[in-house]
Amino acid sequence: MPARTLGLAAISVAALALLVWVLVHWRLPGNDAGYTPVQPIAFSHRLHSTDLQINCLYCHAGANTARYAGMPAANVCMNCHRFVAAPTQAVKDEQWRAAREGRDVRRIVSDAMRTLYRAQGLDDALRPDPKITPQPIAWVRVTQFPDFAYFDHRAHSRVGIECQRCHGEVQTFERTRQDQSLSMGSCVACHRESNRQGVNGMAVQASLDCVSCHR
Amino acid sequence: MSKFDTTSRRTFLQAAGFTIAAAAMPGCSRPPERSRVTHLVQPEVASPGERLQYATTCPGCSAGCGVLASVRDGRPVKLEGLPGHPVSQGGLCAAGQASILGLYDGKRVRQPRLDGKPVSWDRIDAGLKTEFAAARGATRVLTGTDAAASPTTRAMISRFLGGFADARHDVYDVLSASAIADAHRATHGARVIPRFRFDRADVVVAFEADFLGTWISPVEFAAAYTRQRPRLHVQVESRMTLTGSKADRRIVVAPGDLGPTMAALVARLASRAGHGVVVPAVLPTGLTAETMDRLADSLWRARGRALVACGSENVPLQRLVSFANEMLQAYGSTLDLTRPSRQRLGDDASIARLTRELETGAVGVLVTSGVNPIHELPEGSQWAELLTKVPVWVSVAERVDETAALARYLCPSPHPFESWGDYEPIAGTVCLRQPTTAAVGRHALAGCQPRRVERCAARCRGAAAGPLARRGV
Repeated sequence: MPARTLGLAAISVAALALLVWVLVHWRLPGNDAGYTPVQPIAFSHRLHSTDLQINCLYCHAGANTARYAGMPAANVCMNCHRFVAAPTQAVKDEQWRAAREGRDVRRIVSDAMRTLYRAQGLDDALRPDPKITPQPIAWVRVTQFPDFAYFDHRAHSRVGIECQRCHGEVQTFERTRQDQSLSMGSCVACHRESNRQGVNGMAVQASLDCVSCHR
Repeated sequence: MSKFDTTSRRTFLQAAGFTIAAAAMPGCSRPPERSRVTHLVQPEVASPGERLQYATTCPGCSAGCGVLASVRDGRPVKLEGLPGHPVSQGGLCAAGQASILGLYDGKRVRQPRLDGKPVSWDRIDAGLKTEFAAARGATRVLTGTDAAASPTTRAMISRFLGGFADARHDVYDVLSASAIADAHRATHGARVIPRFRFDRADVVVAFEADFLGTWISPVEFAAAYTRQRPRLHVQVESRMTLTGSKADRRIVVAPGDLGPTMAALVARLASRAGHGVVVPAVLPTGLTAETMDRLADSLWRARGRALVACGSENVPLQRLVSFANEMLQAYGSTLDLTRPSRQRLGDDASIARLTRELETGAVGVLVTSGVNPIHELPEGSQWAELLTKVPVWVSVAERVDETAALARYLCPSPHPFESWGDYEPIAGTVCLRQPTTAAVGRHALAGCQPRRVERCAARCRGAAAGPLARRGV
């Protein structure tokens, strides 16, 4: 085969590979569906929201009052986790073992809780440990809106749009992920539909102006 | 002839097309991973996602404007002017807006360094205590106006210097206005820069003074200028400035003709004031006697409401300006000497003196804080050599710049948005600086957070540390 044909074949294969790569990885800005990063603490929304029935706003307090829903400070976690240091089953197992061995029940601290306590410079018994520098928890952002688009939680949560409408069935997630595309098409489709059908039986005027989001 | 010279238009367009397509592709994949750093303990007033505003003083330059820092989840994200601030009246310039970026600069130095290696503060304190005790020769502290115009910092520096026999605090400005102060020492007996009151001026003639753009306190002057626009504003300058573009009349003179133009105007004013001066007949190219006469007449008719400003660094020229303003009865009306500006405290003569002292090896201890003389001074390259010859040289800096990189002792200082402070932009008007955030970034060792220069000084003086230092100012 002449070198020219070989060269053309190589270029075609490369171009095809590029095309496949582009088709696989092509995403519109805001579309991060399926992104499930590993977090510094293995937090389960399923456990907190479904099993324990904690309201979304207990932790994401800004959703009704601010542009950003916000992430809870460590002291919000500590409202409960001052007392709850390990899963119920682990505590029960320890109580059972202690009873069998005829000793005092030891305090069980799970790995996740240990990370939370250490971040605040506390030891397992929640005493401040001078050897540990308090270091805020750096959660990995799951939902990132593109910088060129403006979004305000208040306008959406106040008319009663459920969190799940955009964030998916978060209360069932073991590890938080972006559930659906948040690209421009999804915003516009929902705005159009809301204008036609209303939200929760109320007529609404969801803006379709460019400047509403691209300001 | 290399092969690049033979690139045809078509090849270039192909290459450019592929490059642009390749560059656009990452834009359609997911954005880089970002973290969401939360509070450990939520401040009582704040809730997640909500915006809090902190009033503080702008660190962008030495003008001392007021800013409102919008803080979200413990991090300042946007600056705006502080409404009703005595200096800036709610305005904020581009440099001020951008000053927030310095807070998140990844190149900031976060741990003290000795000979370039990260060490603890205890090592630095102990090392400096012995070095200071054994030091011979003069002690000099070199800062910018931001340290010198802060009453607390100034007091702490003079307390530190009080322990040494031959000690001095030298100040310089990158954009110097030293000649104005030097001229006032000669004409008024006090080395001050008067506060320019453009809002009280009916007629303003500015020589190379870009007072709406870069000169001394542009936001303050712009606020005054817009509140009460002068009836006549004439700008005499060699290149177009923002101020020149706003003037009623813009007179273009070559940089070298600034002096003769000024002299022609002042002579005309003096003859109107009855001083019997001979008005020079020869004028710089492009100027006519009629123009200068009209200018002098406008100023003279507006006596008491007229102002001549000059941005030149030539002391005799600035003395002429003082003379003109005196004849125009500007002092007390459009120029405030009782509550002078403290926004440019630099003294070029003292820096020249310091350079000579460094050359002769008279300086034994040198502390440079918040300045980068190797980059900023005209004789910078010479300073690189001189500084390394000083026996004890401590550099207090936010980042490793040209100067700090050479220092044996490098003490990191916090960003003004991370620390308490005060500032006196106008004599008698003191502005406070409050932290808007906890120290940004992770620290390798506990207790290695940056320290302000006065705290460094206080720690090195040991028992002499004042009450402010103990409170951790």
